[in-house]
Amino acid sequence: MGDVVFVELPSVGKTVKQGGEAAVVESVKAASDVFAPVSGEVVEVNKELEGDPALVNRGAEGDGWFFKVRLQDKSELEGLMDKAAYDKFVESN
Amino acid sequence: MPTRPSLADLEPGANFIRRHIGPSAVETRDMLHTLGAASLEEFIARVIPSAIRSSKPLDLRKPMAERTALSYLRKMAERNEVFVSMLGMGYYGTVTPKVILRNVLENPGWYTAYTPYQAEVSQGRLEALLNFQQMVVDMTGLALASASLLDEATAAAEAMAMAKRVAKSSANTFFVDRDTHPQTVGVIETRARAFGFDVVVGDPSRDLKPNGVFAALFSYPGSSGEVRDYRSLIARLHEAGALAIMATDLLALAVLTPPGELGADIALGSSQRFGVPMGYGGPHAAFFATRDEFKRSIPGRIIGVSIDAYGHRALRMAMQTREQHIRREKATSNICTAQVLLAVIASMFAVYNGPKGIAKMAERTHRFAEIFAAAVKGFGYEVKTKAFFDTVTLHVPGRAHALWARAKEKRINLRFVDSDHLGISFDQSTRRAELERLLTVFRTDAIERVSIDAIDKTLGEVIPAALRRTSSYLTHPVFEMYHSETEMLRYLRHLQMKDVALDQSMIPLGSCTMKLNATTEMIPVTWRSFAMLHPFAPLEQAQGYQQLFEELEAMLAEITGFDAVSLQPNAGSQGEYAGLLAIRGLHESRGQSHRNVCLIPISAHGTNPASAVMAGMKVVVVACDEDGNVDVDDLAAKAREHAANLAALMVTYPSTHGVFEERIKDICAIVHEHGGQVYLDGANLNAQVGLVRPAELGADVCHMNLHKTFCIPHGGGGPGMGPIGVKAHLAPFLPGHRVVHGVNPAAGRDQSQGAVSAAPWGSASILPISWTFIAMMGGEGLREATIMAILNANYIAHRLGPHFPVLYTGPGGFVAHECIIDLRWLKDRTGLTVEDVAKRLVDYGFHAPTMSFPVPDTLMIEPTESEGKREIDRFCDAMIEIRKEIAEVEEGSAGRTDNVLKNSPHTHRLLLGDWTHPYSKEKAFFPLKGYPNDKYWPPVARVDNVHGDRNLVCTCPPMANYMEAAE
Repeated sequence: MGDVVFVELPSVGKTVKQGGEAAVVESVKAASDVFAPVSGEVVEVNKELEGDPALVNRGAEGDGWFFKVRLQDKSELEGLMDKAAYDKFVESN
Repeated sequence: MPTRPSLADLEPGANFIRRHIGPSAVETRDMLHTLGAASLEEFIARVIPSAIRSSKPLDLRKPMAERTALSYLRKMAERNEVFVSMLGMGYYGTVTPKVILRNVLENPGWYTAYTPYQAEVSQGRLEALLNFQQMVVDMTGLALASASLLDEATAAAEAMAMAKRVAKSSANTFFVDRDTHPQTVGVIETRARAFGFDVVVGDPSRDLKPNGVFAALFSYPGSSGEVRDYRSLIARLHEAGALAIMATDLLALAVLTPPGELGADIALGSSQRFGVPMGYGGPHAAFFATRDEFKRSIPGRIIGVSIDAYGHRALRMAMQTREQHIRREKATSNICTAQVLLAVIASMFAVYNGPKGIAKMAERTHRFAEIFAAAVKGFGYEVKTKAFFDTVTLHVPGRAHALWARAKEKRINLRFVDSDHLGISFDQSTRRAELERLLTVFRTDAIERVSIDAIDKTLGEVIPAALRRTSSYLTHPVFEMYHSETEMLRYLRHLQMKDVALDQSMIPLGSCTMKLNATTEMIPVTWRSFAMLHPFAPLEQAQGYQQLFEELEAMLAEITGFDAVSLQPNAGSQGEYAGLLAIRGLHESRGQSHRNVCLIPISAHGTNPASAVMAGMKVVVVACDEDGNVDVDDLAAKAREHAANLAALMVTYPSTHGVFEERIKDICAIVHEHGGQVYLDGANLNAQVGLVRPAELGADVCHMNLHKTFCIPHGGGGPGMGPIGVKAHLAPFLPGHRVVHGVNPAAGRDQSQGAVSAAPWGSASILPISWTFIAMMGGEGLREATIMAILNANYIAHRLGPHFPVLYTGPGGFVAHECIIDLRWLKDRTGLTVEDVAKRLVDYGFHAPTMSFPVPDTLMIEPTESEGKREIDRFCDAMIEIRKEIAEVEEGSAGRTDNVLKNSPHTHRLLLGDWTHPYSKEKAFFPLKGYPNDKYWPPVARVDNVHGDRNLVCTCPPMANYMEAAE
């Protein structure tokens, strides 16, 4: 993607579905959907991203978070990758 | 003694073919020799599989000499009659300042440029477009404006689609003020139907239920001329989470409170009356403005301010990821171009006249309308419009036709609303004598003659104080600096010099067909009898245009093999949309409205899926094989799988990879077998004319980009034209029109198919360009041009082949009319990118080829037939030299970060400070030995795209920034 220039966040209170579109991230070259890892209600979004979208590049796993979801179904967590598996996934793509 | 040549030998004959085609006979022989072919015929037989070649030569008239073509057209033009136009309805008389007419509209430095994707070589028109955006922002009172859309009606339809996206309301109904131009209502209804929105047309004060709509469109002023205050309705829409859209008029906004101050969310309209001739419907630039909070949802292109690599101000197109190229089937708009040339004219009109000049012409226009209304009231007529700017509607029970006819006898066109109503519009070009002539239409002998000056003294303002504009506009210094012709002339020249256009060098953009736009082809465009016609003028006054349409439609039908042609679509993307709607119409007429699946190969141009979605279809992607060809097995499987619902296949030919696919006929047959129709994207028609006919390949409908294959200039990013050809069974479903009936003769009496453009025949005034090209080339010339375009492309592939991998070739190892060179290896081996190569070409004086389409990290090169071997060799020499520069990085003799490619383009500013780079100035600025004379100096260094998209500024920066830029 390269340098992120804009992040479109869901509105608080919106219900998202696991694997469904929840946000959009834009760079100069591409616009991609961000999929919700779990289903539930959006309870908070990272307002910092509006003014400083580069946070996604600098700290994708920290300050560059997108939104917080109140879990609807804990069992959905079971299907997700852990950090080691995800790092491997990123490397192989 | 040598034989004396006969007079016949000395006579010039029709020699335009030699002017249009670049390579001379000697150069052609050389290139054929290089490619190992004995003749053009042998060459082309090896490139295009015989199974797809047409057996029927083009049946067109013999080529005309340039003088003959112009005489023929002159006679045609004389069959048009230019009356004083008081029809209104969004098209008005205007006076194009001659300095702008000659130095922009008639100037190849402006009209032959391409869309400003390569910002470094486009700063001139980017500045003009930024002025356009500033002008629209000022006039509408909204925060942000785009760099123009195709026409007012499609802008209104885009506003509807955008409103649906951003409105909080979840309603599915769009409300349209019934006092809206009928052609706008027509296009909105066409679009809404395909999107599945409900449209209610009514009286806002009575019929608008804010809770039941996602947006409402108000016309301000209304089509009837009436100016109404919509503040309270707008507030109620906002309470309901719906948007307020205003279709408005730039000149009226010099007098009226702007939409932004009334609370509107979107304002749109046409900028035609700012110096752009009516041209029997176009081309004109529509404007579109919105609030800051919706900036990421605005349709079309938008120019933004950024900085270059050294921190200097530089302009660029912003937020390009919003384009359908990237959004594809997620796109909600297929708008892919703008009307740059016309937007430049409108912006220069504002720059040249300034706020005082604009105010004066607006007040004058308004005063003419007021005097007329007062005078006819005095005659005993009922004036229906109470508050108005430039248009009044008269209530004349049972007499409208007689008065309309009486005006026509005096060579004045009025708007015949219905048998009881007439509309009369005034404009910047209205003169006192014309008002006097008009008054004689309404004054019987029994009524005493009136003095215009006497009435003028008695008038009171008809616009309520709450709608009288009090805020200032056009306050940026650029609108004060260039009011003398000397200053304007130099400003235009100053901007033009910053840009690379075809008058500077070859523009080898793949898929864009940047061929010659010959002067003879351009001359008729600004003839009065083509330029000054209102699109809704009575047909008997437009007989020359009707003849032009008939002849051009016949030419295009012969070239493509289709039975009927619609000239209405204003761009290739609009042609796709119109073609898919025709396919939908066909299925519906057969009781198969459930057919909604559109197959599209993965290699397709992004507008294809975007158009399919807009036409209410579901996109199913078809795979391509390693050679870039459609994977026929996958296609067959998908066609089978979706047979019950298959609507269409969209396929580009020759493929977007520039290859003549051998199995195209099989592909079409498979789709037909499963009940679908074939839409052929004609973007690459330049490789087919005279050799292959889309209809014979099996296509049912195809668009033709007249701005590619048929010589309409690209205008720096518009105008374009995308007529479609169809087989007879689709002809009844070609676009119709709300105002002008009989636009599609095959439609029968109900004219059920809606319009896709505001004007019945699209951008009519640029159609003489394509007619002239075809007439001067004739069948043989067109065929030769196609072969030469293919020869040039293969020559380039051959010369660059040893230096860069050439992707995708057809049987026999040949490409079609363009070739793709592969740079995907670049990044890993050198840290360089395809962009570095593109920008380095600027130092060599070239516009880059198409970048990363259809394959990421490649360059697609299309030379067209108009480039001679010398220019092609210069380009190849530049590419080969760049390959050496890449090798230096690869081998380590040049650094990975501080090298000629990474630092390109090099500007004159670098000459001022100390030279700190490890390579020489000569290498930076004059890299190609033997071509020192025509150095192009880019005005800015590499433009910082990230900075621009993170810090969006889309209006003119304060003057201090310009000063800084000049230092």
